[in-house]
Parts: sequence; structure tokens; C-alpha cells
Amino acid sequence: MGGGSGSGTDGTTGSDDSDTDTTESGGGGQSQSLIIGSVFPSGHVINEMAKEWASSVEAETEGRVAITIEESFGGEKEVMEQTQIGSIDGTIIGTRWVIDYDPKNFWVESPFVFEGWEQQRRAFQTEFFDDGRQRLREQGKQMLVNEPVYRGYRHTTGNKAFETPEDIQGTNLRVPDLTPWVNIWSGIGASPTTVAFDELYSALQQGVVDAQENPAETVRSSSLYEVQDYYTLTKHLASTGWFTLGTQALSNISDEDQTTMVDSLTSSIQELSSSIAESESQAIEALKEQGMNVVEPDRDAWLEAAKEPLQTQFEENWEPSLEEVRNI
Amino acid sequence: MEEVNLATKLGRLFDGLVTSIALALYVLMILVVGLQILTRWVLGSILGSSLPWTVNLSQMLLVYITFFGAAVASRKRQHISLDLLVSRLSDGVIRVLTGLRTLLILAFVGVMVSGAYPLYLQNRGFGMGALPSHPPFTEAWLYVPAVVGGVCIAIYALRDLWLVAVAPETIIEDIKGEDENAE
Amino acid sequence: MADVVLLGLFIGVLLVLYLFEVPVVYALGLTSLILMWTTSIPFEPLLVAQTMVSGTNSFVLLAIPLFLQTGLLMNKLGLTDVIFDFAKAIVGPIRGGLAHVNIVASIIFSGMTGTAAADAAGLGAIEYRAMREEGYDQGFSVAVTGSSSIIGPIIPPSVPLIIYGILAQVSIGTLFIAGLVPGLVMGVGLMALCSFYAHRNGYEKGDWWSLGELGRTCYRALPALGTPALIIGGILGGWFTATEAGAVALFYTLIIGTVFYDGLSREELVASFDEGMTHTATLTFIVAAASLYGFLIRRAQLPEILAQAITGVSTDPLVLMLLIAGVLFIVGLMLETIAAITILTPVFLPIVEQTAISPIHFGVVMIVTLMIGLLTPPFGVILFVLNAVTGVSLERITRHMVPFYLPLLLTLLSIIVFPELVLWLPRAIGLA
Ligand code: NA
Ligand code: NA
Repeated sequence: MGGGSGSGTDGTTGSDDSDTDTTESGGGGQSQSLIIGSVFPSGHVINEMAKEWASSVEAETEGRVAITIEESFGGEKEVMEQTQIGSIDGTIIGTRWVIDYDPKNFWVESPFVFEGWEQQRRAFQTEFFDDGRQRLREQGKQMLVNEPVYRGYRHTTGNKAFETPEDIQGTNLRVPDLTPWVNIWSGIGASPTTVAFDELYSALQQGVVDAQENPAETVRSSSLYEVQDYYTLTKHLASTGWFTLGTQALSNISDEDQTTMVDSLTSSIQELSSSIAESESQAIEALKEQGMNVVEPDRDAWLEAAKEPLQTQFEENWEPSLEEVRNI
Repeated sequence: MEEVNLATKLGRLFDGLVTSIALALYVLMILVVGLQILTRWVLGSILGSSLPWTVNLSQMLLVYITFFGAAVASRKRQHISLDLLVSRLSDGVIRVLTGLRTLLILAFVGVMVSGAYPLYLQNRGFGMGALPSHPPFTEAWLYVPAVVGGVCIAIYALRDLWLVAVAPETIIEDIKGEDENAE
Repeated sequence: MADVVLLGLFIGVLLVLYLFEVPVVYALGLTSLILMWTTSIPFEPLLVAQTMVSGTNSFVLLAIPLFLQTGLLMNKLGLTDVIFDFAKAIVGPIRGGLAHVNIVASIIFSGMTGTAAADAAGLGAIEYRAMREEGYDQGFSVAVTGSSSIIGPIIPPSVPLIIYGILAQVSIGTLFIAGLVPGLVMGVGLMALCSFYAHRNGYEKGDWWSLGELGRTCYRALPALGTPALIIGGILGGWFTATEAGAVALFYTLIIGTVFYDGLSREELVASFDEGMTHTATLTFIVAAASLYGFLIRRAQLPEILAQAITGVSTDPLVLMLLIAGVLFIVGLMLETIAAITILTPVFLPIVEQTAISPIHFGVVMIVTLMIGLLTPPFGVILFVLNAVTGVSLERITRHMVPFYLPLLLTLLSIIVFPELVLWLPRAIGLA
């Protein structure tokens, strides 16, 4: 986060790593080779999945489509622009596309909007997003692969339990630099602070911030359990990952091969999402073993407290109403 | 003679303008970072928030300083270069090389500006850090310094070309200067 | 085969442009343009602007102007003289005293500046003049000044470590602390060499330690010493991050400059900020162009090719690290430091991560390697700075520098072989 890597929704975006495990390119005469820029760090499960997908596509198209996954092109903003320019052929990103191409629907990635992941997932498939996807295709020169990767629920760590919203009043909570998030959390009564993700650990250690919110896997991989005692399962949002494919690159690939690509990617994403959902509880267990107290909050009280600031956001910045969205 | 005076005056005005803009932005950037720390440590508890825009603003100012400052460095001919061979050559050869080099710089800056302008147009609708409600912080503003700074660099490159043609001694002195006092 | 041609283009065009004194930033940019024309990557002006702007749109990069400006103000306020006097009172009486003073002053000053050039150009000039006045010969004086100036970016704060930290996504505070011990080891190594010279050549001892002189110079230097104390102590104590440390140091220096020393006039202040702004821009503009060049290197998949070549030789961490340091040194000789870090970090980091080498350890090894490159002809920037500041010819500087590579290379070798030298301190305070 922070830096030139634009706004992701957690620290897993904006990596500058690259990887040595590449797919053989070239081969057949009319072979089309694609380079896809991922914002997730090397070794991340999404990239591992993408690489398997790449080799299966190459096999299924008999070498007509060779895909390489690269992790070092920059953050979400950068890889999306590079795809738009045509310097790379696609992206693996967080939800930047909503911010840039469909800001009136950013509720879909905002805290305390949904009952749970299934509802959020359904929301992405509604017609609210039709024009956003079209703008992404026409202006952003890339096609959104319509199935999101489920990356786990975001919960809240702190040095005390946040069973009810009252417990977080005045607490310095680090959130990513996204205005709606800041507004919603401060409407609930927390004091949101936007520290860059790579400074988060030391900020928590120094007490510059007291709490933060991220999926269990991020809390584990960034060792945040060393500086935080409680993990309250606020379940306020699920993080997602997305694939986009450059329209220019796609136009050189036959319809049949395109279908092969997208179909096999969609089923890979579904498999990965369920395996991430399974490993989520293991990550929470691991946090317990590291000495964190995992707390089940009064979720109704949280949703109730978020209602007013959410209403304001919906009325001022977003297209549908909170009621419409809650009924998805 | 009067025309030369006018040109010199205009030149000085331009130099002063570019430098003052870059300097003002530089001081502003330092102050914004200072404000940010102040709010995070002291004022934050009073204001209830740590002014998230200070991060975006200071970062954006650094992009401005990069391109405007690069123009100032072009005026002073202070961009880092490595003197390996050129100062050993004859004045005539240096003159030709300097002309060629300046043309190359012009070409690069031309490409940079011609890429930055369409990006400026494209990004006008995009909020920075999802701040569409704060118009100054659209991504488009990041490309303004690349366009304006790039044009200023090009103007200084043209000045250098002019000097190579009419008053080569000024530039050649700049290039050879540092090795003169060797032992 | 095509890979070799491509690699040749990436390096060859750059070198030719350097040779004709095209500024580093444009050499990188123009090489990139040529690569876009000649390879399968489409020629696209938008990409030029996009990579350049996003390369500099970084919060952590802000630490550069903050530390640079602090160093410039220190020089302008005459704090370099104050520190020099203090160092003289500490180590002056040892045989070959001024050579030791030169090194100790650089170690102290290292705690304030982030670039070697700031040390060589500011303090370096004073150190060199003092040694010459005491009758030390030209070559020895300039070699001590030059070799000790590269401690600057190894001991925190450090502009090169900031850029590495951004690219490697590791904590800059941790990197800073990791550089402390290697920087001190390097200083001690250089002092050992000077002791050897002093005995062999029978250099004079200075006046014996005087408590009064120590007290007087220390008192004078005390406010100035607050800067490194704030930076290093603040990060060690976990009070603030690197960028914050930079801002705090800058404001602190402005305040003590006015309160304890002869403050600067309005004109001097403006001139100093003008210099800082221009210097910042020349560095960040290079970061911008190097981002473009680096994008094309990765787009051409050169890191993968290089990684295969290197891991093909060995996968032992020690052998790998030695190999990478060798490649870094050679490539580093041909690139400006900031450009080298921007381009090479994404190339080598994946190899490093695969072999369980700590990215913090690798970062410090990389910076030490590149710093030694700064002293190595034909492109060593410090050699040019010394030549400009002292007037000694490049040939003569290079000739006298030769023995000084020994302690420098030994330091490098020991931090490669003993990663604990780098990692012990950050681990001890819980940062790594
Ligand atoms: Na330093
Ligand atoms: Na020195």
C-alpha cells in the first residue's frame, strides 16, 4: 500500500516482487503470448493458481495461447494503466476497478454493508455494475473476468475486544486510505488513521495506532499478532481479487480459445475461493496459537451502529439505496 | 540591442517563475509533512482524525517537484552526468556533441510530454485514494507537472541549442570546467 | 541468443550515451525509447509518462528531500566544522591523528546525511584541507576522505536504503538499524589501515587529550549531535518511522541553527532550499526514468533469464550471495546508485527470497557493494566529486585509493559471510 502502489484494500497489493517460475513462451507459429501483471506478492496463492491456469490454457489451446504471470509491474493503478496502454495484457488486482470505473458503486467494497460474503458476491453480479464493466472495457481497454476471488473476511485487531461499537469509541483505528471507509468507521465512533500498510507494524508497536482491520491471513503473514492482543471477528467486509484481460490482446485470440481461457479461469477461481474459505479458519486458529484472543462480537449492534454513516454515504455518493443493497 | 535586452528580460522572468514555483512547492511539501506528523502526534486527538489528505498532497507535491525541479536543474545544467571522455576532446567536437545530446534530450522530453497529456485527459475522472468528492485530488493532477515541467525542460534544451550555435564558449566552459584544476 | 542481444542493447546503448556525457536520467530514458522500438514491446509514449509519474508518486520517497535538506543545512550552518573539531578532540592524539579524525568525523556525520556525495562535498573538503595543512600527502588525504565518505549511506539515514526499502517492501526503519553495525565495522577497518600507514610512514601524533578541549568541542557540538541522536535513537526506540525521522531532523536542525549557531540569513536559507530542491529533483527524476527502464527490463523477462543463469551455478545461499554481489558490483559500476537500486532490486530480490536470504541482509549487502562502486573507476561518482572539491586528478585519486579497497572489501565479505553482523541489532530490538 502507500507508495506508488495506489489504493488496495490491504497490504497484499502493490508488490514489486517478481518470480522466476515462468511459462515457456513462443513455440507455435501463430502463438499469442500474454503477460499478466499481478499485484499480489510472489508465492501468493492467487499467483500460484494463475500460473496453473496459465499452463492448463497452454495445454488446452495446444500452445496457441501462452500466458506469463509477472509480479513486479507495480500496484493496482499501475498494472491497470499498463493494460490500458497495451504494454501488458491483463491484471490480477484487488478492487481498484470499482474505485476508478464505478465509484458510485463503491458500497460493494465498504464495511458493514452486507450480511456476509454470499450477499456481497451476489451484489457483484447485479445490473448495478453493467455500466462500470462497460466503461472498464471501453475506456480501460480490459475485460473483467466476472468471478471474484474470495480473499477472506476482514476482522478487527486491537489491544482490547470490540464486542460492541461502544468498545471502539475514540480508538485510533488504522484503515486503508479510502474516504468512504474513513467516514463509516468515524461515524461508528472510532478515530480512523490512514497509515501506509508497510508502516503499520511499527505504528501499532509504537502505539501511534491502537487497532487495525485485515483478513486473518494478512494478520498472520505480517506478524501483527506480535503487537495486537485481540482479534474481534467483525466480519465487516470480504476482500476480493479480480482478473482483467486486455481487449487488444484478446482480439488476437480466437473466440474458441477465449472461451477456453475464461471458462478454465472461472472454475480455477471458484476452487481457489473455497480453499481460501477453508484455510481462513486455520489462519484464525494459528492466531490463537500465537496468543491472540479471538472474540465473537455482537454483530447486530455493529450493523446497527454502521447504519447511519452508511445511509449518509449512500445518499451522498452512491447510486442505489442501502435498502436496495440489503435486499440483494 | 533592444531586442536582446527584451529576450534577456523575458528569459530571466521565465527562470524566476519556474524556480519560484518549484521552490514554493518544495517548502509547501515540507510543511505538509510537518503538519501530518503534528496531527498524528498532537492535533489528531483534538481534530479526531489525522488529516488523511496530507499523505496524498505531500506525495503529489513530490511528483511536482520532480518535474519542475528537473527543469530548474536543466537551467543550471546540473543533471548528473559522467565525464569520461568528452572533456578531453577538442572544443569543436564538444560543440557538435553537445548539440546532438541536446537534440536527444528534446526527443525524449517530447515523447514524455506527448504521453503525459493524454494520460492527464484520461485521468480527469479518477479520484485519488477514492476521493471523488475532493476535486483537487484527481489522478489527472499527477500528470500536469510531467506536461508543464517537460515543456520547461524543452525550452531550456532549445536555449542550449541556441547557445551551441551562437555562444558555444559558455556551454563548453560548463562541460570542461571541472577538470581544469587537475594538479 | 535473442536474450544476449537484448541484454547487450539494455547495457550497451546506456554505456554509449554515458560516454557522450548524456545526463544519467536521459541516458536511461533514451535507452528505454530505443528498446521500445527494437523489441516486441510496442512503442508507447503513454507508458513513458505513466511509469515515470508512478515511479515518483511515493510517500516513502519523501524521506529523500527531508534528509538531503537536513544535510545541506548542517553544511551551511557550519556544523561540519563543529563536528570536525569534536572528532579531532576525540581521536586527534593517536598517531596519524587527522586521518582518524577524518574517519570519525565521517562516522558522526553519517548519522545526518543520506548520500556519500553530501559527505565528500561538505565535510570532505574540510577534512582534506586540514590534512594537507598538517603535511599529509595529497594522495593519502584524498583517499582517506573518499573512502570514509561512503560510510554516510550505510549508517542511517540513507537515501539508497530508503529506495531499496520502497522496492523490496521492507521496513526502512529496520534497514536503517541494520546498517549501523556494518557502517561502524567499515569505519574501524579504515582506521586500522590508517594506523598501519601511520606507523609505517612515521606520522606525527597530535597534542595529548585535553579534557578542556574535549569538553569545549563537545559542548559546541552537542546541539548538532542531537540530529543523529534523534534519527537513530528515534528509530531504535520505535518512536517514529523513517519519513517522520527525516521531517523531525529537518525541523530540529532549522531550530538549533537559529538558537545555538549563527542562523542563516534569508538569502542563505533560500539558496539552501534551492539547492535541496534541485538536488532532490535530479535524484527523483532519475528514479522516474529508472522506473521506465526497469519496467522494460521486467517486461522483457530479463530477471528470469538472469535468475536461471545464477541459480544454475549454485543454490547455496552463501555462494549465491557472493555471485549476486559480484554481478551487483559490475553492473553497479555502470549505473548511477539510485538507478542501480531501482533497476536491480526487482531483478535480484526474487532469487534472494527463494533461498531464504533475509531481504534486510541483502539490502545492506547491496548498498555496501554499490557504495564501493562509487569509489571505483571509470564511473565512480565520488571520484568525480573529490576531483572537483580537491583538484587532485582522477588518475592520482584512483592510484592512492587502491589499498583502501582492502578494508572496504573485507567489510563487504564479512557481512556476506556473517549475516549476523547485519541482522543482530535489528533482531535484538525486535525489528526483524
Ligand atoms: Na547516513
Ligand atoms: Na571522511
